[in-house]
Parts: sequence; structure tokens; C-alpha cells
Amino acid sequence: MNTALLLQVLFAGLSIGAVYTLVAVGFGVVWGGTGAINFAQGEYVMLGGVVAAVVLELWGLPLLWCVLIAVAVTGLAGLATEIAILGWGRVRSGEAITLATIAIAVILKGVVMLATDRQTYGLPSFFGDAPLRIGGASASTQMLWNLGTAVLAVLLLAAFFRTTRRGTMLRAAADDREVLQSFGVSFRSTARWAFVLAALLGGLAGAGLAPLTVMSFDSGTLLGLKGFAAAMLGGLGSPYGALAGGLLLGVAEAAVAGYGAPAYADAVAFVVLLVVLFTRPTGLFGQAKVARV
Amino acid sequence: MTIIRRAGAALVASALLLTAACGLGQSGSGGGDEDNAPIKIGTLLSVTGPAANLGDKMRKGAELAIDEVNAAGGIGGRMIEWTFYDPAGDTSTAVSQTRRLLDNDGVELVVGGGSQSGIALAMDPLTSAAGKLFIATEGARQIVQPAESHPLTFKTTFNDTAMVERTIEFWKARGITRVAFLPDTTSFGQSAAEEMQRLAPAAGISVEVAPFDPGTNDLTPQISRLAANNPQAYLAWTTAPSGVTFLRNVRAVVPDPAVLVQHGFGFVDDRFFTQAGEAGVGTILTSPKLPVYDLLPDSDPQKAPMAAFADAYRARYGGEQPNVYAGQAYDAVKVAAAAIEKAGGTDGAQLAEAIETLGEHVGVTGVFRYSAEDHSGLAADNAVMIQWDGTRFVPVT
Amino acid sequence: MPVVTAALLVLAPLFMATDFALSIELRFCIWLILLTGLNMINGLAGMTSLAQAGFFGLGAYTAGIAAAKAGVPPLVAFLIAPLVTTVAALVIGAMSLRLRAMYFTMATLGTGYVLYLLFGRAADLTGGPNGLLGIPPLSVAGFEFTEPIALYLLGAVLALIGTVVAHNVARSRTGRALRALGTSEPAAVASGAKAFPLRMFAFALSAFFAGVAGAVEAFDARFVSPSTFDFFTAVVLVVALAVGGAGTAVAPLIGAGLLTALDLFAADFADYEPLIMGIVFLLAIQLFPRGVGGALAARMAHRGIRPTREDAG
Repeated sequence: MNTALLLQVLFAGLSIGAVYTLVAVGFGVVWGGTGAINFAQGEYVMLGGVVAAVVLELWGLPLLWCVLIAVAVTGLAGLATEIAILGWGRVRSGEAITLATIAIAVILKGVVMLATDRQTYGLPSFFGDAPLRIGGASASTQMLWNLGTAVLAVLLLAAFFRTTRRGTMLRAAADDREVLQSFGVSFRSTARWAFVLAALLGGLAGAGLAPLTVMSFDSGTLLGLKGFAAAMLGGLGSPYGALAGGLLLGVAEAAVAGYGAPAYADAVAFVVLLVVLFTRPTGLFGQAKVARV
Repeated sequence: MTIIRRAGAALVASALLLTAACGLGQSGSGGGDEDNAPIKIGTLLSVTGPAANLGDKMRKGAELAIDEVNAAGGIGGRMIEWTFYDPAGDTSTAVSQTRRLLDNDGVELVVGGGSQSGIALAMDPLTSAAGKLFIATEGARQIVQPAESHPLTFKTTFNDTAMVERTIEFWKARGITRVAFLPDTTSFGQSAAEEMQRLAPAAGISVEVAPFDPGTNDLTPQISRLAANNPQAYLAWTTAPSGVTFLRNVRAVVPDPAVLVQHGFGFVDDRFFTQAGEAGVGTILTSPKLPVYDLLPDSDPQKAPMAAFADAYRARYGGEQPNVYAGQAYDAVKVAAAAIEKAGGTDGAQLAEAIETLGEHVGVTGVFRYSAEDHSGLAADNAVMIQWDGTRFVPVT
Repeated sequence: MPVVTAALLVLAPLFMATDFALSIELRFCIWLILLTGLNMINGLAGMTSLAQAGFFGLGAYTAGIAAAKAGVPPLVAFLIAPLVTTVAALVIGAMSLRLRAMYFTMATLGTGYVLYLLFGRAADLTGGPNGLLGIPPLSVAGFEFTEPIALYLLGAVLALIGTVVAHNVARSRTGRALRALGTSEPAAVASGAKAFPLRMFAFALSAFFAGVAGAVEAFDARFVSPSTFDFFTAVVLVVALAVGGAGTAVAPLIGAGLLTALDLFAADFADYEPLIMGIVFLLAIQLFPRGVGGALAARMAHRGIRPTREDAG
């Protein structure tokens, strides 16, 4: 039993799993707030990483500032998403919003591609590059930070959903929009909260991911899709589900890369997605209603 | 209403097609043999898409060469007319664009194979069938081997055979016998893997191979698996940005500084190493001489042309440093020009013969010695081992 | 519509017959076949599928691998391709067509992506990221399809057949039942329409078309690479159909024209292509919330403000 390899796989899995968790939470938030799947979620992650790196490269600000600016810019992108989709007033159904987010994702990717001239970017680790040696394997401090951020985000969000009025609103729209109307809360205001919150989470995930890998305009698509698989695995709309789904998926991927065929590691997420859709669409912890037609 | 809509739609579709047709024009008849008709050269390089950085440098190198040739009065009084397309890393787009170059634009020769070995491999049958010379700027040796099957195709890049040989030579000199090799899954990586597995055992070096997909985010699982055998060196062979991830991951999993971290000649790029930060310092690469030209002895025949090229490139492109890719494209145009001058025309077979009998062509990438059997022209002695010291590349001592 | 299509397909090569022009016209035929198929599921049945690009690739790779690696006679390889894609669609459809429309779309997205990953990573089988080279030309009874005009005629004939089939399906009882299902499901079910088999039929048919298109692509370019069948292509197909007005008879023609024009001018505007495509798509959704994915929005309207409850379940 190669303990070092096992630990390494675990660390790699938790590391990327934390990012998937944040993305999955974002999906859950938009789902709860609008009843739609937000395909732009992956691009928010990309924005977070790329903007942080660009700010660092252009102005050399302290890392913390770069991250904050990146998260803020991504939040603005979330706001812009809501306005672009719902501003005209013609698009209201969950399905139409979902398709519209695909369009937004393509636009965001296109804009960043032009603005960055297709460059790739890296970011230094938040707490230094020196890795921690644990049991013969190495873990990056970045991984610990990402993991901590993910867990904290999940805890805060769960509390937010449970205790505040706004939080309850954000879970209601997926099931029954009439509830919103009866509370006198506008659909658009809930949607705006949802998109901005999802974008902020995505931006944070991206800034946390950038030190671990190279990011470019291209990085968002696959991440978003995998994060969605994690969300479905855990149960769309459940923060704890997002944590479980994200970490499980990350570790599964790393296991395939470490023990199996690394070339197919990327496929794990999609196979998981299909299996979940076909067997238990509500996921591990989910409450989303998936009616049988 | 429906009929009007249908008719209108059909009209729109036809209008679209007709507009397309205008873009297509008629089959070009080429420059023929008139004395001052321009020489039409076609080029495919991916300046957008996944390998955009690479392709962009290549385009600039080619552009510089063409401008230099034209500024000197062209070739035998004939100026170069350049048609350029960007396949964006997509092979089927490249096939379509190649057909366009050959049929529509009437180019007389093609320089530049889309910045990706896979694209160049796909273009070759088309250019050969049309009887046109094709000088590729991509690395895979299958583009020109065996030479009898590719009579009209040449390249200005090293064969991976030469690069692998040079790397093995280096290992032997350092007494290294256990190596981990990580090629990417593209033609570039796989071609090198074949050569490595063929040549290394004969030199007494055991190689464990773990291919990786260029789109990978995290290589720590694979590296951990390889680390179980305690290799003395880790060599990655890729042109993709995931090579930076490799550098970071290796240094994270294997902190022992005595273990060598190496890259192939596809990764000789300042920007990648700047991104890798600390993890990139000390990386050893097998490379053409261009990145360290200023540190070479004056007796090296390549020093002067490389210096001239680097100066001209910087002057033309606002202080930007050229890299080996720009050099390859520059050489490709210059070799084509030399061949046209020697052959006195642009017939494919004539040009091929001219290149094979060119003798020595001192290029920026190396000293080319083409022959009927060798359409790459660069032997292992043109390669050097260099190292990234944190700011720039320096020769390995 | 078949008449218009036939006229177009016959006239075009008369005006523009250079090798290059013919290859572009063939691309138009391939897009047309793809979109006509997609129109069955996206338009007629009103369930957005993002798997069409994946099935396209599956067809192309099946034909290519069979002919180039397995030594299967090219004609047989050509015929196998649409069969394989249809079976794939039946399998995926069996598991996902009972779900809500959005989950079906997700399943097709997952399918499309898995296929794309397979094309690029199963390097021993598919040639990996750089693609599968060396596909022999299609030959029927000794005649080899190597000339551009021959390939074009093949594509044009198949496209025309496809249009006729689509035309007939749309007018048949099945087609009308599918449409009714999309507009008002409870009413349709009440009058005897069985949602699941109808949708399976539409989905399988769309995949069949994609398989045919893939086989043509494989024998035209004589090589296939994964980048032709990526997520962006899947989106582009949906967008093109939406702009043309998914569900209408003329949509595939307009969409194919759009995509062919894009093919031609993409080289010059590759930088702006994603941005333009995204904006066009967003506009299309805003302008035709009905057009995209067929009668989805209409279904919403008929159900009142409760878009998420299924009365049947």
C-alpha cells in the first residue's frame, strides 16, 4: 500500500474538490433564486483567477488586493448577467434563463479572450510556495486555504438560507414562484441577489484556483461543467450537498488520475453527471423536484 | 404568409451563399513565369486558439523574413505576395484553408503548418497532391519522414530524434540512469515518446513514461506514482501551458534539489517560466541555440545571424524578444527564398531539389544541411542544454 | 421546402464550381443535414439537445475508425455510422427523456462532452487530440468519391433526402402529435399522445441525421479531429437553429447558410467569433423565447405562472 500516493491523491482531490464545491454552491444559489442552471458559473471562476492575475501583473498590488478586486469585478459580472438576461422582461422561464446563461458564458469568454490576447496567467500561492510535507506526500498551503474557504462558505450559506428572510426567498423560486409573489418580493430582486452571490463565490474560487494551475480565458468551461456535476451529485440547492459533491468528485478524479488512466480523469465528472441524472436526479442531499414526464 | 416567409428564407440563404461565392472568386492561376509577377506564398499559422502564443511568435518571425526579402528587392526582382490564414488550432479548418490557398488563391508554395504538428500532417497530402513545396514550421518528424514519401515537404525544426539524442547525451554525461518521462498526448509528445523508448535503453537509461493530456489541471497524482521509483530526472515534453503546472507540481511533490527537472524544446518560452515562478528556476531544457545566442563564443557561425535576427525582431515588434518559434518561421521563409533563387522558379519538384542541394544554410535555428534523405536538416549538434536561472535562459555548465 | 432546397442545391454548383467552392457547398450540405436532424428534437419535440455535435463526431469517428483502422469497406463504414449514433441516442434517451426538459438538456450536455473527451483521449483508437488520419475514400461499386464534385453530389443528395424526410415527418400524425405535446402537454396526453415514445423517435431521428452528416464529413476531409465536435459547436448548432426559428421548416436552411458564412469568414474574425455568437444567441433568446427550444415558452404560457410543476407527475 503506497501511503504517499494515497495521501497525494487525497490532497489533490480535496484541493480541486474545494473549487468544485464553491462552483456547486453557486449553481445551487442561482437554481434557488431563479429555477435556472447558470452556465456562466464556470466563467465567473475564470474571471476571478484571470482578473486577479492581470491586476497583479499590471499594477503589482499586494496579493490580497488583487483577490478582492477580482472578486468584486466578478460580482459585477454577476450583476451584469442578471441585467442582460432579465432586463428586457421577455425571458422569465427557468429553461429560457438557462439557455441565456449559455449565451452569457460565451460572451464572457469572448470578451476575456480579446482583452487578454489569449495569454495564460499564474498567481503566487497566498501563503507562500513552500509545500507542507505530510506522511510522504506534499500538500500546498493553497489547498488548505481553498478547503477552508469552501467549508466556511457552505456553513455561512446554510445558515443564511435557514435563518434570514432573504435566504428563504432564495430557496423558494426553484419550487414555486408564486410564493415569492405572495411575499411581495420581486422576481428580479431575488434573481439579482442570486447571480451576484454566485458570481462572488465563483470569483473567490477562481482566485483560489489560480495559484495551483495556469488560467486563461479557456479555463472556465470545463470547470463550470464539472462544478455542475458536483452540484447534481450532492443535490442541487443544498449547500452541504455541494460540499459533499464537490469533494467527492475531486477525490474521484484524482483517484482515476493517480491509479487509473490519467487521460480519462476529466471524464469522471460527466460520467458521474449521467449516472446521477439517470438514477437519482435529486442527488445525495437534494430536494429539487425532478418530475417524471 | 408562410409562402412569403419560405421564399424570403430561401432568398436569404441564396444571398448568403452568393456572398460567400464572392469571397471565393475564381480559381487563381498563379504568378506564372512572368518576370515581375509577385511570388505568391501561402501560410497557415494558429494565432488564435489553444497554442496562440506560439503561433503569434511564428507569424511575426515569418513576417519579418518576408519584409526583409522584399526590402532587398525580392527574389530575382519578384516580390513576395503573402496570403495568411489562421486555423485557430483546428485541423479541419486548416484543411479547408489549405484548399483555399491552393485552389482559390493560387499560391505557389506553402510555408507554415498551422503551428501544430497535427495540422501540418493533415496539410501535407493536400500540398503534395497539388505539386507544391511545403515548408513546415512544426516539430513532428513524421511530417517529412520517410523522405521518399514526402518529396516536396521540408521543415525547419529539429526532429525530435535529434533532441532526444541530445538529451540522452546529457544524461550520460551526468551519469543519470533512471528517468521519468511525461510527454503530452499530442503528436509532438507521442512522437518524442517513441524515440525516447527506442533510444534510451540502448544508452543504459531506464525510462518510465506517463503521458498527460495538455488540458490537465493537476499532475500531482501521476508524478506521485512516478516518484515511487525514485527517478533522477523528470522530463516533460509539451508545448502547452500545462507544462507550467508540471513545474509547480514536480517541485511540490519532489522537493529534493538533486533531482533534475527538465523540459523539451517545445517549452523554451520566457513567459511560461515567469509564470512558473520559483518552481521554474533551475529547469533544464534541450533547445536550439537562439535563447542564449549572446552568451555563445564569437566563433559560432550562428552567432551573427542570430544577433541580427534578434535585433531586427526587437526593433520591429516594440522590444519584444523573439523565441525559437519565431526563429523557425523566419528560417522557413528564408530557406524558401534561397530555394526560389537557386531554382529560378517555383515549380515544386525544382524547389525541392534546390533545397536538397543547398549545402549549408546558416539559419537562426541551426545550420541546415538538407539532403535527399533528410528533409529536416538539423542534427543533434545544433542543440544545446540550457537552464532557466530565474530571469533568462543560460547555457548549462 | 424540399423544392426550395432542391433548387438551391442544384443551382449553387452551376454558378460556383471551383474545387474550393464545391467544398464549401458540401459544408453547407453537412450543416443542413445536422440542423434538419436537430430540428426534430429541438424544434418539433421542443426539447433542447446539446448532444448533436457529439453525435456528429460519433458518426464521423465510427465511419473513420471502421474504414481506416478496422479495414471495413468504406461503404459499410458509411452505413454503420448513423446506426451507431441512433443506438447511442436510444440509450441516452431511454434514461433521460422521462425527465424534465432542463434535465434532458443537461444529460445531452453530459453525453456530448463525454463523447468529445473520448475522441481526444482514447488516442489508441481515435488518434488523440491531433485526430485520425488516413481515412480511405468512399467507394461504391468501384467508383471512388475523390473528386469534389462527386462528394458534393453525395452530400447534396443526402441533404435533399433528409429535407424530404423531415418534411414528411412534420406533416405526419407523429409530427403533429409531437407539436401538440410541445404546446400543451396535458391536452396532448389526454387525446392519446404518448410523450415518451414520441420523444424517443424525435431524438433517435436527430441522431441518425447526425450520423449521416458525420460519415459524409469523414469521407470528405478524409480525417477527423476532436476540435470539430466540441461544446462550442454544440452551442453553435442550437443557436443557428434558434436564429432560423427552431420548429419551422425553413430554420435548417437559414441556419446552415449562417454557419457556412461563418465558416468562410471565421478565419478573418476568429477573434470575435465567440463574442458575436454569444450576442446573437442572447438576442435570439430574447427575441424568440418561443423559437429557442421550440415551444418551451409557449408551454410556460399555457401553464400560467407555475412553470415547474408537471401536471402529469
